[in-house]
Amino acid sequence: MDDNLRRLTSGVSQAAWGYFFLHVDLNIGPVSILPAFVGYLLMLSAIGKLLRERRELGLLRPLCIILAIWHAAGWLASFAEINLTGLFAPLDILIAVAELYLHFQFLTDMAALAGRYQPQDATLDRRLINCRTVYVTLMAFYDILFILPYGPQNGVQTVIILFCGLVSAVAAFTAMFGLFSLRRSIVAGNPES
Amino acid sequence: MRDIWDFLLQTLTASGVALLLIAVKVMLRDKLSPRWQFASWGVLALVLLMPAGIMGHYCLINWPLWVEALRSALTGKFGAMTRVSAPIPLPPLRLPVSLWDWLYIAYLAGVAALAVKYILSYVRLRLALKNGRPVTGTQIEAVADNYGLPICKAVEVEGLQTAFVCGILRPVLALPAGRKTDDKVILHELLHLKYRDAAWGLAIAFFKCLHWCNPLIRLCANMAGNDLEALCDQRVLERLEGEERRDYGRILLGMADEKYARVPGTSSMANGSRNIRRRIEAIVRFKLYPTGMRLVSVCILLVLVCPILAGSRARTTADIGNVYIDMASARTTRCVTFAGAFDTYAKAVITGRSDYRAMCAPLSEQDALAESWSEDGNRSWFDANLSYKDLYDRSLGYGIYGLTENNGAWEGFLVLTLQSAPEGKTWSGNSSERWVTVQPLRAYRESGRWVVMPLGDAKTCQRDQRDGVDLGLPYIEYRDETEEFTVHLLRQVRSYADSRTEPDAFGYSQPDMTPVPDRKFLSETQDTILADYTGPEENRSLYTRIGVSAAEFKSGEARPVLRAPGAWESGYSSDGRQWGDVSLRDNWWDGPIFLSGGGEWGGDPTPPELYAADLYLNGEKAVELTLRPEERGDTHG
Repeated sequence: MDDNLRRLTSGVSQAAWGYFFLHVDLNIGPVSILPAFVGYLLMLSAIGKLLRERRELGLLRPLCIILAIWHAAGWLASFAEINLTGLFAPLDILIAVAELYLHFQFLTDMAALAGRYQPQDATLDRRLINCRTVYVTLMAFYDILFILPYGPQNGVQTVIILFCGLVSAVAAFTAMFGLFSLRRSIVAGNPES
Repeated sequence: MRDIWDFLLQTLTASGVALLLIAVKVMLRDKLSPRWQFASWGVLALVLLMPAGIMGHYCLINWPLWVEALRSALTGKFGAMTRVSAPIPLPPLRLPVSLWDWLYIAYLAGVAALAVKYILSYVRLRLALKNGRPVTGTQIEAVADNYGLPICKAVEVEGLQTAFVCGILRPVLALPAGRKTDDKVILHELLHLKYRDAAWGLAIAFFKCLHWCNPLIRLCANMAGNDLEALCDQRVLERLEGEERRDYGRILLGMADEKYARVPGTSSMANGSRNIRRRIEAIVRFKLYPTGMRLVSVCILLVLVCPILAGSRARTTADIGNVYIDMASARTTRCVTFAGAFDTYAKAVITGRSDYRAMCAPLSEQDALAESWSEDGNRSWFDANLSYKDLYDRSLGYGIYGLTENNGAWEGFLVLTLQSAPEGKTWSGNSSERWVTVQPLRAYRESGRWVVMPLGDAKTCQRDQRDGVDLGLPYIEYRDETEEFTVHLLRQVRSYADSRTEPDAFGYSQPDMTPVPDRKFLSETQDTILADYTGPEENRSLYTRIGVSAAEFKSGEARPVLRAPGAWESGYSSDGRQWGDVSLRDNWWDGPIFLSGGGEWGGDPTPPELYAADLYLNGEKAVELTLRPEERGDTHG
């Protein structure tokens, strides 16, 4: 396997594991043992490795760093049972905007990579684009409902928030499995590897 | 905006949003196109057009709290609330007397001066254009034809550095005299004309005038102007190809050293050297902006707009121990329902916290509350107002009895249970005979918030809990009489809050003593039917049984058909019908004859206008009665 191919497969793997860390959460008390900031660090590393393939990914580096720092701070604060979300509304909005853009652009670029490396007649790129659209749209709804003045205060709002969270998580998992498929396609498309 | 505090609240609210927008734009500067960059200023425009603090809401940061705290600290007054009625300056309602009034006059003068300056510069420009030489050449028409753009009157003017479009209703394209203007410059200006960008420039100048002393808003106004130019560049580049795009960049580069003063109502390609540099950077990024970003652009705008427009509302007091901040926090944590105001008052009484009292006190009471605070450094309002404060049984919460609406205000009796008998009184220890305090209250709207004023002092009384109505507490009495009997129907409505603290380690929870400004009450209704014998002593022996059946009704409506009460039975149905029948033994004649008692949870707390009642004597229907509320139907027993 040449260096480029190794970088490519490793980058796609890290991207997939990044989504795993972002959407699977196991806690011991208030502290997560699969912290989200690790997911963003993996995505940051993936961006570095996939930059030659998609130059637009370079735009996402600062966002990844901001989000990794924010989630790392939140993770450290969780040891003291402090939740950073909701402490300062403008910061919540800023983080929500950064996450929206990052995931939209990242999954768009992953779909473009899939379009290049998937076998003929495969629809992995379409699947990733659909996941992206569902994921980002529901994430936006989730953010809006959560940042709105009173948060989840009545039954209807809570149900909508749960629905948005659940479906966007399903979309994220589908994207994650799609990225693992992409990795397999890249390896399979290069027999010498 | 009627005074300097209104302006301060308005401009600070806009500043908070401006800072957030700048942060978002810096973060996404190289990621989203100039179209999005300009559209995002719409969020700030909406905030600037919306009166700050409307309906007790604030944008992102609780500015009303800080403005009120500053106002109290600087003026020493607590009995005022800043309320922005309009986002534009209005003439003051009185002649200036204080420093703050004069500051507002100075602000108004600044607005007027800047507006006059802009108008004069525009008029001067129009006059200069009037003296220009009309251009009838084919270059402008050719560019317009080539790109499908509208054209307008064009003039050549001596001494102009670059071309621009002036005016919104009757636009004029001004070109520098004596030199050839590049097609791409004309394309740029015709695109300004097509999209009416001069109107945006006018709107930006308008906001700049209103907030002339706020450097952040002025900075945003300049940034919006530059984004407008960058957007026009984007539109030009979308219409050009290959080498033409590079030429366009070179033309912009050539303008980098030109002096520029933006005049409202105009749009010009040149906008200062530093801004030109930024636009050239944007042009370099033109092909690099990721495509297909419409979805995320809209999502991001919605995430920005929704929380900003919906605003937030203070839900609890600051409680940091500073009289200015805590009192301002209490005033600005508005009770938005009458139940919220009663809830806050009740909890103020139970906990003795004067910041809770300030939350629901009229503005006229705020100075006195602040004084009581300042004297001894703690919240001592209740030491002077209630002598039972240490006796309240918190675990039983509170109840509001006999809530009635009166011309938009709500009146009721606050009932608080005491742990023991007041001094000089005794208590058997029976919970149905506990001592309580009863205080009549009135809640009404003032300055967009519900406030509560006591209608009298709190009095102690003892409960008299039986089946149905507690005769010791407030109730409404309906009655009618025959020659020998008087029938009473007592109705008691208790409104209460259903909120308790999280259970402790032993699973025990207490009523939550944090006020809930948007509280909604639950209600419990109890009814009791009684009868008195008022006839001659010798006729008593004629009666062996008495029964009453009753149901609510309104005057003018058909009288309801009532069921006959069965022998020695009593009942209460969910539709408010009730009945009772008892045997009249000798000892039952000594006091009121109890016929039935019952109640329901969550029923309509509004007292009915009338009750229809049938009186049964010895098992036979004797007479139909109409029970009416007593003249003072809201009095308590």
